[in-house]
Formats: sequence, C-alpha cells, structure tokens
Amino acid sequence: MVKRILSASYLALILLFIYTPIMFVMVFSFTESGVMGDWQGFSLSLYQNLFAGPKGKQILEVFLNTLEVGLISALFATLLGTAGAIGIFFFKKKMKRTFSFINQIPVVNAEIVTGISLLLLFLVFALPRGEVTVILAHITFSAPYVVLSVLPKLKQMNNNIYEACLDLGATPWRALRTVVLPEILPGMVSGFIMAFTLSIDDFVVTNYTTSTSFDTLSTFIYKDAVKGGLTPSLRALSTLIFIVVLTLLFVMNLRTGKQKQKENKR
Amino acid sequence: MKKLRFQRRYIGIPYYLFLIMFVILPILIICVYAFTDKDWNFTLENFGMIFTRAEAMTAVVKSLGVGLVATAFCLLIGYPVAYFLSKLKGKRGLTLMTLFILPMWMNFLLRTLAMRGIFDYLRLTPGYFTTMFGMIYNFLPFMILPIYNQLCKIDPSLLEASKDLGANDRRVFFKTVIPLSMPGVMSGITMVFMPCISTFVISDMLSRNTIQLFGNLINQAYKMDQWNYAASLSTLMLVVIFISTVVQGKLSKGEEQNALW
Repeated sequence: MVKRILSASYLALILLFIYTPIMFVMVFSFTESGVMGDWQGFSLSLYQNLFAGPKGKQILEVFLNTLEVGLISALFATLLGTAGAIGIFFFKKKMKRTFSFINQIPVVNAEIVTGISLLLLFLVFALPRGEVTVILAHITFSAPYVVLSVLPKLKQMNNNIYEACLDLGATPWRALRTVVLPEILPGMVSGFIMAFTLSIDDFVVTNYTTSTSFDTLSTFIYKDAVKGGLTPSLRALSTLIFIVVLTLLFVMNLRTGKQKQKENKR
Repeated sequence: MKKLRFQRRYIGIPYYLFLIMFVILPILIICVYAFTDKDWNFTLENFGMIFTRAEAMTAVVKSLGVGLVATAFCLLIGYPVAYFLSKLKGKRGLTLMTLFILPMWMNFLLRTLAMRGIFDYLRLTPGYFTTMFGMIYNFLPFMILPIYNQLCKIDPSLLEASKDLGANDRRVFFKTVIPLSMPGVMSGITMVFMPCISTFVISDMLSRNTIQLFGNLINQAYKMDQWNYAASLSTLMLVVIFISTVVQGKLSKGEEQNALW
C-alpha cells in the first residue's frame, strides 16, 4: 500500500514537471501581456487576434503550410515506406541486412546532420529551396519510421495465405492487394500518424532546407523568438492545437476501449 | 531467355532508389565537402580548423559532458517512471503512458520558449543549469518509452521463478528486472544522448547564447555560409554517432547473451 502511494505520487510529480510549461502557455494565452509571466487581467483578445488581426492572417498561413507539408510528406512516406518494407521483408539475407542498415541511418542520425546533408544535396543539384525541398526532406526522415512500423506486421502475417492465393490463380498484384495489404494496414496507419507527427514538430531539418519565404510553424516561431519575443497570439494557437489533440487522443482511447470490450464479449 | 518474373522484392525499388538518392548520396556529399575547399581542391584544412581552434574543441567537449549528465538524469528520472507504469494493470498503464507522450504534440520550440518564460519568471540565470534542465525536460519521453516497452515484454513467470528460488523483492528487481530491461535502457540512452549532443536550439534559447555546443558550431558555420567547415563538423558528428551506436549495439548484444545464461 505504501509502495503504491509512493509510486503514484512519483508519477504525479513527474507529470506535473512535464505539464507545467504547457499550463504556463495555456494560462498566459488568456491575458494580453507581451511576455509570459506578466498577468494583466483576463482577456480573449489573443484568440480574437488569431482569427482577425493582421498577424493572425500570417499565422494562419504558416499553420496551413505546416499541415500541408505534414499531410503530403506523410502520404508519400507511407506509400514509399510500405513498398520498401515489403521489398526488404522479401529480400534475401545479405540485401536485407544492407537495406535495413541504410533505412536505420535517418533514424539514428542527428537532425542537424540530416539537415545539412540534404541542404548540400539541394545545393549541388541547384534545386531552389522552398516547399518542395522541405517536403522531400520530411519524407526522408519519416519514411524509415513507416518501414519500421510495417515490418512487424509483415512478420506476423502467415506467408502461406499469399502462396495459397497465387495457387488459386490470383495475379501477384491481386494477391498483394487483397491479402497482404489488409494485414499490414494497421502498420501503415500508425506509420502515417508517426510521419505526420514528426513532420509537424520538426524544426531543425526544415530550417536548413527551406527558403526565407516559406515558413512552417516551427521556423516561424524560431524567427520570432530570435527577433525578441514570441508573438503573443501563438500562445492562443498552441493552446487550441493542444486541446484539439488531447480530445482526439481521448476519443481514440475510448473507441479502442469499446472495441476491446466488444471483442471480450464475443 | 528467362522471362523476368514478378517478385515481391521488386516492389521496394522506388524506396531503394529514394534511400540512395536522399540518404546515401547526401552523406557522400558531406564527406566530399568536408575534405575540399571552395574550389573543390582536396584539403584537410576544414578539420584543422576544428582541432586547432580552442573555441571549437571546447564546444565539442562541453557537448559530450552536458550530454552525458543530461542523459544520466533522464535515466535516473525515467527508469522509475517506466517501471511504475509497467506495473499498472490493464488500460491504466497505457492511458498514463499516453499522458507522458502527449506533450510532444505541442511544438518543441513553444515548449522550450515556455520553459524560458518560467526561468525568467523565477529569475534564474541562463547557463548550464537551465540548458540541462531544458534537455532533460524535452528528451525524457525518449527515455521512458523504450524502457517501458521492454519492461512490458518481460515474462512475469521469470519474476515468479526468481521469487520461488528465494529472492526477495529487492533481489528480484536488481537481478532479474534490471538485466532484462537493459536493451530498452540502451536504446533510451542513445535516443537521449544523440539529440543532447546535437541540439543547438535548446542551448541557444535557454542559455541565451552563453553556452556554445557542438550543434551551435554547425549552425554558425551554416549561417556564415561556410559550407565546407559545416560539412567537416557534420562529418565529425557522424563519426561520434557511429561510434556510440556501435558501442550501444555491442553492449546490448552482450546483455542478451548474459540474459540467456
């Protein structure tokens, strides 16, 4: 009993540590002051500015850029990564090891090295930096994670089903579509979510592969912070994002819980 | 002539090409830049700049030191969290785990700026303490997650077995739980140590540019358009990463063998 109380209070303490800065941002999104830590009375003006003010338009644009880059890069990363996972899975030993190793490089590598290496690549090929290079860079660091989340699903799959499908006269493509794809779909979905998350949170790689005219939320915040302070409206935006994500995760959690209950009843 | 038959491994061809183009080639380009000057002549001067400039060398050494300390703290704080979470039954553990991961959904820069706001509010002087605090704060989930996953994989019958053989709770923990969780600990350490030695944002923002780390060196070289110098620094960082990955691999392999016996 004492042990349980001790462990529960330890977890609570660490959660408090993790959530304090976030609460700090949230609380100070409801006041007008220029810097956080200086409470000047309750106000919703930051939220109003977000949707109506002059800075608001800019922030909205940057926000949409972030979503666009995140969705496009996650989509391509999922397609490429799934194809790659299937290929790697059916490789013979030596090739399998080689490509698993190469796949691991962007995962282990420091973001700053990935960023600089891609920057030099774009320089060598004289590719103008902008949205396209950012998307390419994001696919590069997120596709390996898709591979890593699809591979376990392939390992779980019963290989005989594919063979049986071919024996029954299906073309390899059809067998892949109708038998393999449904098996690995959960891995693809979690890979997509992972890729999207990595993309919208990335700053370092984006910083090196973008131009001054194309900003995502991260580069925008960084420029803002270097200039002096954080644009107060961003506090309101991040509060909103956080609440949306929290609700989404909560709903997803509830749904999987219900599904499990159903399965148990069966 | 043999007909080219469809094989499943051909499906991966687009991805193999992509990897070669965007992973292998860029690394080769970095190495070429690192060993050449502006006119593409071979030179070792870029590396000379790193090893002869006191400023550069101290930054590298400082990064390693700060990275080690921050990683050690992450392990000390994170291991108990992972352990207690893995002890929770049913969905509770997973839900709480989600709570620990959730902050990563808030933009990393915003979290760091919020931290700066709190430090300013508390009137803490920006320096080593604030920088390391920021690192621990940001990278703690990377330590908790792999250890938690590893602990959940442990077969409970092993723990029962060691109890049956007469070990008390403490002995079970030190002789069974910790050794079996080592692979998770190892990957947690790499996942925290790597970003610690390469970050420049945290040191920039939380030390207010008073502390220069490895990452800051690269970023400054980039800002001043010294591509070749930036490339040689990146090559050095690649070497450091490569060494620590190999060491980590060796260590966790050794542990696996121990676990077998």
